[in-house]
Amino acid sequence: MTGRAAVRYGGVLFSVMKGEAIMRRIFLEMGTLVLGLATLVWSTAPISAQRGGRGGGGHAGGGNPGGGHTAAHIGSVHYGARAAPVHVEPAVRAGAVRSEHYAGLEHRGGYRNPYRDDYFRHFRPGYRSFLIGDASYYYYDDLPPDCQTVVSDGITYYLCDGVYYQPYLYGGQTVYMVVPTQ
Amino acid sequence: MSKENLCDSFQRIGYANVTTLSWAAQQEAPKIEPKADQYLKAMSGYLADLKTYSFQVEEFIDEVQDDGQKLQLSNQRHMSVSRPDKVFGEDEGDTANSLFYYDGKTVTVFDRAQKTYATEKMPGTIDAMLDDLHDRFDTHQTLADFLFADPYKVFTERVQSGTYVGLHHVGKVKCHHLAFRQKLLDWQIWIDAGEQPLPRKLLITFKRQADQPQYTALIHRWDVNPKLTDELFQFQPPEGVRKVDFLNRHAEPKPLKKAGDK
Repeated sequence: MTGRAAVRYGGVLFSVMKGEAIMRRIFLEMGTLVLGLATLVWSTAPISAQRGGRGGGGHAGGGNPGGGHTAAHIGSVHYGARAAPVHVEPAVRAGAVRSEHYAGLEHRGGYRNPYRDDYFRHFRPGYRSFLIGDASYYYYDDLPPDCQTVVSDGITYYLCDGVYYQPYLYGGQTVYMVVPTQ
Repeated sequence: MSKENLCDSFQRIGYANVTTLSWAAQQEAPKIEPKADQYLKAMSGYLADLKTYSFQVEEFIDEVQDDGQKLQLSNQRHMSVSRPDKVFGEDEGDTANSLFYYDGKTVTVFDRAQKTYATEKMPGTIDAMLDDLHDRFDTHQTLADFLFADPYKVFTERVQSGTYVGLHHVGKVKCHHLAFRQKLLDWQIWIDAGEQPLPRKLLITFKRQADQPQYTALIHRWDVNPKLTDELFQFQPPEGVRKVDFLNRHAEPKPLKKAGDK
């Protein structure tokens, strides 16, 4: 979007009119300057959203199940353009044209990490992020081997290598979210 | 900066802004060829008028690897719809193995591979349910475009342009081949040129993603008046399955008070 705007500025350089009433134009342009700045601020917001969504902790993804860095399962025009709130671009797995409707609509800056540092260091590779409120949680498609079952307050968790997981349904698949500890 | 230079700058911004605004205006007024619009409307109207319908799908999904190699995966899918408030879906294949139930009150998704299911209360129409699924659970029903009450509105709400490509085949069926462009997606649809303007194929190109992966659905075995019983849309958990929650954008898990508590 910013790149596109820059190209347009470049083109305008050749179309500036000469010999007109300069001061009259200044007043005229003051209004469009304000509008122009507003447009620029608006148009760069999704770019920031993209960085925010993908940059947190250096982890890829922002809430779409599926492998690779471009999930292709959206399967709908509507939802292909909507996807997850931090995604500027729709994920392919949704399989819906309408997914573009949701894409890049929401923008939040930084995301809260709900995990303690010493706990976070135990996380195995391959996690994906899922935003809950302003917090970026992590989940996996499967559990590591050799887990034990732990029940706390009526909830069943899996304890594997010092990390607690809770199963959830997400996009038709069972995923295992890492539960924070206090 | 001299007065002339200052004015020049204002002019540049002004013209750029006018250009940007006119570009934005162009986005709001899709240019759809009348012939493409006509067939998309015909298909959408036909689907909207159906009380019950079901179809089967063979879908293909590009998975782009980190080195750029594109691999194709596929699933079989079946969908049964009773307007305005019931949907049953079934998928099985390389990336899916689940059942989907919506009975007008709740949605249940059953992961057959992991023997896990989740149930949530939902709004009372298919449209509201689909949006709620997205808003709360970041979940998209594949091929949702064909489930909405007004498919034409859904298909065109983001369209920038649409063209009629020609009469082309999907298998042995002659279809009107239409192509549409959006900001983030390009998509094509093949609509049966026979008496029933049914969609026979949908292809979405995710053109803003690296290597432009595609989603393709071949839609066959349409039944436009199936007898669908209420039981079809209600989930009866088999023995040995476990109930979990959907991942919810608005419900943080309760932190464990102390590691190792039992």
